[in-house]
Amino acid sequence: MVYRAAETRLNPDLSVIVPLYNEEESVGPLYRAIVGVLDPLGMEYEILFVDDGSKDATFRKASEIARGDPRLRVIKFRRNCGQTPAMAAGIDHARGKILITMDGDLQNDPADIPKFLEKIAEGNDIVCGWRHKRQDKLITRKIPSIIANRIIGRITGVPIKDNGCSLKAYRADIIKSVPLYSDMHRFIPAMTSLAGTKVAEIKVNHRARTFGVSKYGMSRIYKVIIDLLVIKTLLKFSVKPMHLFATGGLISIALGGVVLLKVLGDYLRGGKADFMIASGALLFFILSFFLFLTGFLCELIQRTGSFRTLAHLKKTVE
Amino acid sequence: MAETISVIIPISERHDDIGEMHREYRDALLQAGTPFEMIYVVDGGFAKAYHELKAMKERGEKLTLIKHARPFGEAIAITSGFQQSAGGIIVTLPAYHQVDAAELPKMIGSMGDHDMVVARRWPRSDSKWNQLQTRLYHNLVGRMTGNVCNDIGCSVRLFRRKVLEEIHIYGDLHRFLPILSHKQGFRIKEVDLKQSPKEKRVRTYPFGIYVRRMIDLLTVFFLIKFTKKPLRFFGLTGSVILVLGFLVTSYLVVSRLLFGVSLSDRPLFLIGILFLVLGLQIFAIGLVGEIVIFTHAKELKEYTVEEIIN
Repeated sequence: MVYRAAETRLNPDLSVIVPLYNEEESVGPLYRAIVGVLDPLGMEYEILFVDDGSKDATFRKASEIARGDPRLRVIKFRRNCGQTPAMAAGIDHARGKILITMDGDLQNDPADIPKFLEKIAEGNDIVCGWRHKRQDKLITRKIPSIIANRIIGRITGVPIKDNGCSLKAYRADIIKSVPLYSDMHRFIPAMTSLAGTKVAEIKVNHRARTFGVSKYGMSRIYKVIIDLLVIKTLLKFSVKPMHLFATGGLISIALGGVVLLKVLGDYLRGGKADFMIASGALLFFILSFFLFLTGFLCELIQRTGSFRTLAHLKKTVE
Repeated sequence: MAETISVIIPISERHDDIGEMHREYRDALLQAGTPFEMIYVVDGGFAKAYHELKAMKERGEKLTLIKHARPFGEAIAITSGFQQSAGGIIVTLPAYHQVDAAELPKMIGSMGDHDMVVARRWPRSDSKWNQLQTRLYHNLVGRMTGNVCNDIGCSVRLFRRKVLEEIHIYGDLHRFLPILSHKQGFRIKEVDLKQSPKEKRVRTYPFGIYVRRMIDLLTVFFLIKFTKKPLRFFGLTGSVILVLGFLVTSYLVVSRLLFGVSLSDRPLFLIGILFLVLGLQIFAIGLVGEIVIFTHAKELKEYTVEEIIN
């Protein structure tokens, strides 16, 4: 088959982004599966393989395929950076109008892609995959994941049943404006809700790993909890930066004030001033000062940062 | 190897006789046989060294001379030399005796396809006290940042242009360039160069210098581990202190309510509250850090692309 490079390189309709880390066995089958699904659709598309500093032959195999197919682009990292940075690189370099991300270990099924495209065509900005028949261990993987997703949904206000599924479709302009770093890919739906996006969720196939080993462990729990706290802060912060810390400041000033008044009252009524309690109350006064100042600092950061572009991204002018 | 080598020599407080240094380095580089240029960056004052270099230049010596209006520190000196340089390979050399200049050709020859070659003064000929200091320091550096090289104090380094194009150095970060480059995924190699027999001086620094080194190390440690996720660091310290404060306070409150032990003569109460307050403050700072990172995440690329095909 001969592809005309010019046709495939400029603004394709679709970019499929796949981060790969030590997936030498998966590269070939994955490429063939994606092409097999996309070719009949008659769309212009590109595939981005992001090699996240693999130590095996992943890059060599991918670049061999890319030599024969200009629609496959391979981005090679100098070192292992992690899954989110790999996705971010793919998103930064993608040229399509619709972006699809998926795992490189064949756990996601490319055959689901057409369903995602339909959902996007219906007017959704983000479509998330939901592995409703997950092929994983019940106790160590599925149950923690269900609990985590419930909590994430409750806290972020975007109830997605499966935040951990990599198979997602986005409108390019939306996802390109979201800062993606560290492990934040799990929270993309929540982050983009800042911009008022419309999120849909569809069931996808999930296959057990055939090659390689799972790269996750239980040690994520601390990280997820901290990230969740960060997301909550960011979501609140983006609207009213001062409020978050000022609320804390008010609470601690009230706490300190009430205690201090009581001590003062006791003293005036002729008792002994309770030195210890008064000092404790004063510490809360200090805390409230600190929190107010932190709030001011946040206002400053908000003014200089790129926050507002995100918060007012999606709007209609009539 | 036809690539031009740009030699950058920052001149700050510590420098030996510049004329002598220049001759030594120049002769060694001529011996290596690669085209090279020499760039001196005078960081602020140091009129004597500056005039000496100027006189050398007027005598027809080939060198570029940059002078800072005031001292900005060695990292910035290297950066401004770098901006002036044209070579594909950069060599930084100290303006004082550290390695035997005659060993430089060996170092240049050993680059291969590495991105950076770091010198290690070995065998050493200086005092045992100096060696002990170096050893102790590296033990600590290795523990905090991972063992990348064994002589971070040696500023003889050879690296490709792209290294400094990608890594922004400031303050005292030039010292840790090998560690930062390693973090960015550059290939690093260490070579043993004979120590200059002239580096004999026993180095005992004022106490403040040692403190500053420790702070530098802490900075690098933080930069390497937690730049993208400040709350993972602050959150851990913050929650430990918070939990401690909570336990102490609730123990005291419970004993007050149930057993009527008065709080007034329990100084522990103050410590409990102090910990609570401190824990919350640490958390708040971590959150501010996260907000800063988030606002600028688009500019701070977290990945380093080596190659793109198609």
